Amino acid sequence: MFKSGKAPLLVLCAVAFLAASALADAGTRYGFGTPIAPADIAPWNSDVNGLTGAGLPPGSGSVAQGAQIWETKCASCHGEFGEGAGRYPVIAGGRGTLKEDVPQKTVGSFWPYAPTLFDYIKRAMPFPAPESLSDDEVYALTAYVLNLNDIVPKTAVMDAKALAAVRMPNRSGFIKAQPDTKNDACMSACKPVPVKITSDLVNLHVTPDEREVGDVGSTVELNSTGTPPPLDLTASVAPAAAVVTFAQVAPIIAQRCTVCHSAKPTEAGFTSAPLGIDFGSPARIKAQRAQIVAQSVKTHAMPPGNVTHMTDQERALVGAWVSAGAPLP
Amino acid sequence: MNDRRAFLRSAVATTAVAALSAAAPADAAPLAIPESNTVLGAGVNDTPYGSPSKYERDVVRRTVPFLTAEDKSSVSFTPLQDLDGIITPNGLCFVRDHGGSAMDIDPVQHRLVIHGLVEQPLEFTMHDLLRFPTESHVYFMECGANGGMDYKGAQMQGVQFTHGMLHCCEWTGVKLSVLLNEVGVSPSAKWMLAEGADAAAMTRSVPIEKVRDDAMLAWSQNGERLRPENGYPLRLILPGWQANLNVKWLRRLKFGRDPWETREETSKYTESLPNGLARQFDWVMGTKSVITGPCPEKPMAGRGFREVTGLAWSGYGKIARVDVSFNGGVDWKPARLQDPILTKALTRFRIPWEWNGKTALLQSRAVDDRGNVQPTHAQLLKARGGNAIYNKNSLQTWRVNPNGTVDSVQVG
Repeated sequence: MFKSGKAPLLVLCAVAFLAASALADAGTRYGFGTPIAPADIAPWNSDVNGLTGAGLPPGSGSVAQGAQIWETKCASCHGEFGEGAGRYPVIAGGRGTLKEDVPQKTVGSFWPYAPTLFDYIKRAMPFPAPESLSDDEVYALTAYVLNLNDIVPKTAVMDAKALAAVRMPNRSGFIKAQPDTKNDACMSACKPVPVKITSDLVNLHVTPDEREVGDVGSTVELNSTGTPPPLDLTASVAPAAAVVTFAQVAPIIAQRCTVCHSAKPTEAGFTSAPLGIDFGSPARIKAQRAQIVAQSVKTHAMPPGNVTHMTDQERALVGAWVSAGAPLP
Repeated sequence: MNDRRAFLRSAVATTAVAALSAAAPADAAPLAIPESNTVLGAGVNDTPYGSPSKYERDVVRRTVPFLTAEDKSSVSFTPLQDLDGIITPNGLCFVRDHGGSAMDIDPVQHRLVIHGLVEQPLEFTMHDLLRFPTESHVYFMECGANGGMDYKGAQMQGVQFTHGMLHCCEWTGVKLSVLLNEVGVSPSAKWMLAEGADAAAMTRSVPIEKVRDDAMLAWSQNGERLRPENGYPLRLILPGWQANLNVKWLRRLKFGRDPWETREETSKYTESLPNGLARQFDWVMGTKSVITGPCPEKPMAGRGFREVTGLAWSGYGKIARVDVSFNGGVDWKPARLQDPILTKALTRFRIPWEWNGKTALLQSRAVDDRGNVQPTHAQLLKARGGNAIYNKNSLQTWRVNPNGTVDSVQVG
C-alpha cells in the first residue's frame, strides 16, 4: 500500500510528535481498511473552510433568488427579515450590541467568516430538510442573508470568489481562549462574614418539575422516617385556593395566540400552526404550558412583536393559571 | 396514590420543623412475611435485556423545554441526584443533539473515511475498525453549555439542570493514533475535521496535538455498544474536552493545515466577553465539582448526621483534592475521595456533616493534579461577565433552609 522509502520519515515524525504511549504503535500497519479514490470521496467532501473559502464549489446565486427561497424555506423559523420566530435563531441585525447586557449575536453582528455561512446552510439547513438545497440555492441564500445584514448590496451575486472576499464586520472579534481564572485553595476565614447572597432563584419558578410549576421551593413533605417521598409522576396536585380557572384563560389564548397557533390559522401568511404548536384544545394548551410561560409570561418573546397586543395583566393571569396546576374544566 | 400522599401528609405530624427535629425512635410495627416470599417470581429471561425497577421510574433524563426552539436541536439532562459512584448508566447519559438523534444507523452500512493531508485515504467499515488493537478508558463527558443558564444568576433549581449535561462512561475503541499511522498523516497536517452522519452533519476542528495524544474512536460505552442517541455505531472521544467536539455518528476525518472555523466553533461554543470579544477554542473542560446530595431534589431528612456527597472532575487530569464549605466559602474542610481516581473521569467525594437545623450554604471546590483550583462564581464573572454561556466551572452554592429544603443560590 505504501512505498517502503517513506517508513523512516514516519518514524522520525513519530519520535517528534507522538507521546510515549503511542510509540508502541509507530510503524505498525495493520492493512485494515480500503483505499478510496478522491472521486469516490467527493460526495462527502463538501466541507468549506470558513477562513480561506477552500472547498467552495462552482455555482452562483443572487440576493433576489435568495429572497424567494428564503420566503418558502427559511422564513417560518427565522422570520421574513431574519428576525427569528419563537426561540429559533435571529439571523439579522444586532450590529453594535456585543458589549451590551443582552448582546444580539447574529450572522451580521457576530459571525467572523462568510464562507462558514455556505458550509452551514449546505450541511444543516433547512432544519427539517438538510442536504436538500443545490449549490446555486445555497449561494443565493448566502447572498440574501448577507444582504439582510447590510454586508452586500441587493444587487450582489455570490460565487466562490465573491464569498471568500467578503469581510465580515466581526472578523477580528475572536481571541484564542487562555486560562482566565485563578483561585487559591484557602481553607479558613477566606472571606468576610456574613456571606452575601447575590442571586436567589427561590421565586423564579422556571425549573421544569413534574410536581407542577410552582411547587418547587415550597415545603417538602417528609414522612415519619424523615425520608422525602419520591416524585409521584401520576398524582395531580390539588389546586390552591382562589385558583385561576381555564375559563379565565381561554379567551386570552383565543384572542392573542390562536390566530397563528391553530390548525387553520387566520393570520395572513400561515397555512398551518407555526412549529406545529396548536392551541386547538384545552388539553393542547395545558400540554404547552411550560412554553407558554417561557415565551409569554417570563419573557415577551410571544406574541412576536406583541402583534396581538397581549397585556401584562393577561400574561400574569396565564402565569397564575399555570402556577395553579393549569386546571382544566 | 392520593391515599399514600394523604398518609405522608399526616405522617409529617404538625409541621415540617417538627418532623425534622431529632425525635425519639418510635417502636417499629411487628414484621409481616413480605408478599415476595410467598409467590414465585418471574422467569429468568422474561426480560432478555432488563430494565430498572418500576419504583425507579423517576430516575430519568429530563429537559428544560423553554431552552430551545424545539426538541431536536436540544438537550436532556442526566439525573445526577439519583446516581451513585462515578459511572453513568447508558440510558441516563445526557443527550445534546443539533439535528436530532440520528436515525439508528446500520453498522454494516456505516463507513468512516479518513482523508485530506494523508498518504493514503482509507475507508473503514465497522468490521475493519474492530480488528485494530483496542483500549478501554473511563472518561467524563461534559457539554460546553453545562451550567450556562446560571452564568448571570441562579436560574435552575436542581442539580439535574445546573450540572446534568455531564456523564462518565467506560469507552472502548481504538486509539486514533493507530489510525493516523494507517493512513500516513502528513507532517504538514495541523488540524483534523471530524464530521457526523446526523442531520446537522456536525463538524468541529481538532488540533493535531490532541489527535495524537489521547483521542480515540469508541464503539462501546460501559461494556455495550453505544446507544443510538450517543453516537451509534461510532463516535470520537477527546478526553476532557468539550463534549461537542466528541462528534457522534462519526463518518469522516479530514486532515488539513487550518481550522475549518465551522459554525459550531465560531458563532457557537465561544464565550462572549463584556468587551465585545469572544473566547474561541476553549476546548478543555475546567476543574469543577458539585454536591449532588443534598441538593434541591434531595433535601435534608432531618437534623443530625448527613453524609454530603458529590462529583469532581477536570479536563486537565486527575482530581487531587475536594474541599467542602458549609458556610458559603468562609471555611473549608477536605472531603474524602473515593477510589478509583482516574484521569479526566468523575471522582466521587464524601464528607460527614452534623446539621444543626439552621440555614447553611454548601459549596464544594475541586483541585486537580495540575494545581488548578475551581474558581468562585465571582471570579468567573469578573473574568468573563454574564454572557459567556459556555464552560462555566465556578462553585455551586446550595442553601439548606431550616425546613430542610435546598435552593440554588449564588454568593458574593
